[in-house]
Amino acid sequence: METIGYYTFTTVVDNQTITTSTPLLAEPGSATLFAIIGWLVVLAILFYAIYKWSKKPSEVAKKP
Amino acid sequence: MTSQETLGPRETWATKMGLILAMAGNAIGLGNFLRFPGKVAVYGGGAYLIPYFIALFLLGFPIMWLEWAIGRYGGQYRAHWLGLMMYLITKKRFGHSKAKIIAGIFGGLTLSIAVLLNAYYTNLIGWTAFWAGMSISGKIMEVTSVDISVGYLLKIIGDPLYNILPWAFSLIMIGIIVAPGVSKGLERAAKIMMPLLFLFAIGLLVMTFTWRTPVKPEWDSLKGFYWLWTPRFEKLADPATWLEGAGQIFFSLSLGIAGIIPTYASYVRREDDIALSALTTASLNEFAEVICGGTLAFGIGYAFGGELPIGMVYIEGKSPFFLSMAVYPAFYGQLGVLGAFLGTLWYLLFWFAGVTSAIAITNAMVEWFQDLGLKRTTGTAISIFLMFLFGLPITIEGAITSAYNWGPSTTYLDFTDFWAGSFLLVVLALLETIFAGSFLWKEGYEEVNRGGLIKVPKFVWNVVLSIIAPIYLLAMIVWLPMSTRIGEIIFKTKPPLEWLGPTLATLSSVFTLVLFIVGFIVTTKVIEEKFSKVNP
Repeated sequence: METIGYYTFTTVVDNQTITTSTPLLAEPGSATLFAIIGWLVVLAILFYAIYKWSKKPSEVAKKP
Repeated sequence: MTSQETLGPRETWATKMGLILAMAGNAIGLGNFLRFPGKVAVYGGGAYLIPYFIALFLLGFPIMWLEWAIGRYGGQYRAHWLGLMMYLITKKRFGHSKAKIIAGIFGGLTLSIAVLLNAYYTNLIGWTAFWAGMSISGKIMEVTSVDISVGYLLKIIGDPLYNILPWAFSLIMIGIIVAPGVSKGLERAAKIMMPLLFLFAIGLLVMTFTWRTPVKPEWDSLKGFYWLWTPRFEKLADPATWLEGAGQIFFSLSLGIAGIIPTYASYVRREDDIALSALTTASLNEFAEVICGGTLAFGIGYAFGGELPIGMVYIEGKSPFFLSMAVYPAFYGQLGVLGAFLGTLWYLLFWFAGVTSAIAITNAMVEWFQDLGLKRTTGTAISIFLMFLFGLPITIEGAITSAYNWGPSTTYLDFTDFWAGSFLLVVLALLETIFAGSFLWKEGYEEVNRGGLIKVPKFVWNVVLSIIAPIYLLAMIVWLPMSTRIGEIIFKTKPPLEWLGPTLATLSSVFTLVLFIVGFIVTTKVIEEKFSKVNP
């Protein structure tokens, strides 16, 4: 995990100002892997649909 | 009219491409680009994809196919809204009287959801129209800090002029698109707006991966992308992650929303494919959601605002919609002319996404009025007026509460969003899976595959749609009130107007009930007059 930055914000509780700084963590390798999986699943469904339409070009073009 | 004398749809789509783009436009909305990345951020990053995709296959595709089948089936008898369709589907099994009551319930639910959901949704579309206008005119260049852009957002909510003008503009545009009818209005608009929407989204997508550090070298868009998709597996142990995954699929595909998918599908001729068409529109929706939505909100957010957008959503619990309306304008404003150009792409993308969804809901309402004997243009005008009337409490609440340091509040909007925009949709879809699932509508499986360019597997229909999906939906019905902080929504208004929040929530509930009753009565009346002799 690597820290990409810190998010600092202030809250007021019982007239006391509290400042909190939270690290934002990321892991580029696993993030890329999961994003690729997501993209592949979506693209697989999309291209399957396009492939099926391409088998019936006249169906796509014709007026119902 | 009997089964041998079907009239066919009142109108039909001119082309398959038009149908698919209109259906995709109906599904693709603000939720794809803003709600989805917000859920990924909060519920496990990359790990969220596991419950999300499971729900897509167990809930999304099956119910999508079901709604298309219900719609095309109804269309052959010239039934163009869900109540009438469900009468035809349930009549054979339950007989006229019981089927009329079932249809009345569907009719009541669809009317209340359509009017109330579109009332506040078009108001939100108005917010995007405001920022699109600011970007196109170049005035966004004056928005050079987050304070200024938050100030504008407070004006949009609290100043009636700022609220009503962009809202009314959006409503008029919706009316102009819906009034000419299916092929001349809805289809033509979809053919223009949807390619533009994808063009803008892909343009911004390319920018996110190429022009990565427009503001500061350390603010790299890839860091925002990496942060969002880093899997946080511990979140999978939280039941909320699984239900929110299902919820996102449900809302994103517009399932259960006032029967708009069945209404659009009712314009498909009986012999034409619906199985592949439904899959195609769902896949376009997923492209917009996972690929575009999953990249843009936090990629662009980090490139322009560093840790601020992530922190506001992940740590402070703000919605990405709030970010886009209150924080991002300042990012664009600081970039001068280039920012105005990017802002134009960003906010027109949202405006198109919103409008293509709103016209689908409006069209379902117009079909109602046509069955009451009104002309399409008159029905459109009344529908637009109803949306304005039932959305007006948002403007009034904003104006009343804007003078207070806790205002302006959005109790009516938030409560209606929970009630009519979330809870009732799931109830409607549950009833659909019960009454039109394989146990009570045995012809449904044959219907979905009629003329199909692909075949929906029997297992999907008999087990996934008819057993697993209703269980999923029941869990969501139990979960939604538990997970929504209703108390916080209702009691948002503070002294001296602490009574206003509960009053507005009550008003929203009363509106729902009144519209349900009207919908029930009208549905049963139309059935008696026009459909009682139909024997499907």
